[in-house]
Amino acid sequence: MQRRPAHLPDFARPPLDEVVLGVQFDQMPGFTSVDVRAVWDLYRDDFPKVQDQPLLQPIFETFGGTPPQQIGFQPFFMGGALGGVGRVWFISEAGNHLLQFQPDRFLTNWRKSPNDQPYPRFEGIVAAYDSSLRKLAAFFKDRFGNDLRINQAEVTYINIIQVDSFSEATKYFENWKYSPPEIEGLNITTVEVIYNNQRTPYARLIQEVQSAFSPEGKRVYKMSLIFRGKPEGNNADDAMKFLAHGREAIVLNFRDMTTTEAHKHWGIEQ
Amino acid sequence: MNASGRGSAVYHQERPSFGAPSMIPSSRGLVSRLSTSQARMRVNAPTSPWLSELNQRFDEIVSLPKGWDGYSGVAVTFTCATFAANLLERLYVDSVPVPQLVPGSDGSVQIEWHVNGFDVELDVLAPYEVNAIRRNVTTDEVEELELQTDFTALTGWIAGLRMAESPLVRMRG
Amino acid sequence: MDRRAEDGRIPAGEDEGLSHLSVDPYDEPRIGGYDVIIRRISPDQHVVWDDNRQVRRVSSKAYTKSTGLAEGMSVDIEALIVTAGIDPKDFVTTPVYAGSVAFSGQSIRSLNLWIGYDSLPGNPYHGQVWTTEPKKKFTESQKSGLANAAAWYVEIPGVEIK
Repeated sequence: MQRRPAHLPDFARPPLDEVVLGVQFDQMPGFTSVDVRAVWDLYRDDFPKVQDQPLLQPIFETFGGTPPQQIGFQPFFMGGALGGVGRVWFISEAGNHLLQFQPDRFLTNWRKSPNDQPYPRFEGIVAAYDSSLRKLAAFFKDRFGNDLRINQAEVTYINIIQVDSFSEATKYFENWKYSPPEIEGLNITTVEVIYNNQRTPYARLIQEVQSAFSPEGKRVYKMSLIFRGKPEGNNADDAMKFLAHGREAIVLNFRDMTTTEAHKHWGIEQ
Repeated sequence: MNASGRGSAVYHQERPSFGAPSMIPSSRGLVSRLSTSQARMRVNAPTSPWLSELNQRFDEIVSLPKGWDGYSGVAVTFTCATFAANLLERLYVDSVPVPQLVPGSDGSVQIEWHVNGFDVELDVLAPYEVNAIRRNVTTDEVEELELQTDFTALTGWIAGLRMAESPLVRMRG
Repeated sequence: MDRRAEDGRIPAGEDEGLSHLSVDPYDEPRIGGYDVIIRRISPDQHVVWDDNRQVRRVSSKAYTKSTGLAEGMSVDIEALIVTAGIDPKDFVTTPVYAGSVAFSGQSIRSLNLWIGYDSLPGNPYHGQVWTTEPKKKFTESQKSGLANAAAWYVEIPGVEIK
């Protein structure tokens, strides 16, 4: 298993609620709904439950020109979408871990609920995902004779910060200076373009803070950090490098966006 | 940072977990979220006139029957078509005519304009694999680019297709 | 595995229901410089409006190869069709009606391209035009060279070849 990079801040009690890792790949020619069962068989021992879900539309991080009105623009035509094959969830027995599969996507989710499991750390999640992804790649090669061609990858960290009042933004967010007596709602998004060493844009880091209510009716800030873009190459090795880089960017960004006071509350380990 | 001041999202209704958050609120202030656990699928209306006009054409090329070319040609892949649409949305310029779409036998698609003294052809071989050429029909000069993520170079090409900027007009001037 | 007979045809009955086994790119010596190589053109999909010249014409996309490194541009080999006793113009307009253009073997090879047999289920007279080295695409000069070398075989009325 990878070791945590030493320069990354660590927190004993991070407000982390969910982590998503995923890749998008070129459709495998000849893949049909009949093959989905065979994919599930690869993971069934650890993910015995299955659930159908609607398809996720392809998403691409491109640069230049005018950004579409909506980030993650999805086109309107549906004819022939992925050969009519939908998305499925493969769910662990406890319900904290999930694999998501559709003919052009493969993702893994860890989440704290439903039973408040301790965070297994990125290293644990990515090692398991790496193994699962390579299993999928081998399956495609064996069954269809084609390599898995990954065209996009993403890392998402979703944090849930419980507050007494939405006016506590200055307590948690470093750049928030505006502090009226009562904030009823908050919804902030920033999008940062990420460049490689050749100064070519290849990813985006999307930071979103939103006020919300928990299922128990408590006020929370939902802070999502998404790193998404095109890995350098098309294979699993390149995807894993991208995910590691994305995680690093997210953790450093989380530290920079939140206050020293909040860090102490979350048990920052220097 | 830019507070919208709108009502808070209802977390227990949204259930954002267990979804790839493919829809992110726009920096222009619109909140647009895909709620995966509620199994809603939203297909957004196109935002540029090009895509409005190309709606039917995209539907046609992703639905072509096997052998449409008289050989063993396949339909344009959904992934390729989506990437092409995404690219067009980014490149849209007012007063530039809508392009034409030509399918390849292998699931690829070419976006092309033949207007205002230029031929501009964007051959979308796969997501992040675009071969672009621009030909000046007067001088026969050809420029070629191979593009992956950054399409900034194409913005000048597309702007040059505007009706008011015909090279023929410039020559006469 | 090459199931072709001496003249490039699949023996009768053996091509039905079989999935297509791709042929590695090669140059077929039995295809002569004067042999006619046919490329089908879809009137619905390959024809574009050229506002510069105020004409309908064949898109350059019709003269491209598939992107796989070992894949080429599909063609029909006229000599094989004729040897089989079939009218080539009838053959290339069924089952899907298409226009078509024709090149000489020499004109294709002069662009540093190979031509070879590659029979398909249902089309034993199918061939491919390949790059001589594994490449994802034809060069622009190869594409324009093909367009320049093409002549109508089954003309699409009102459409320019290039």
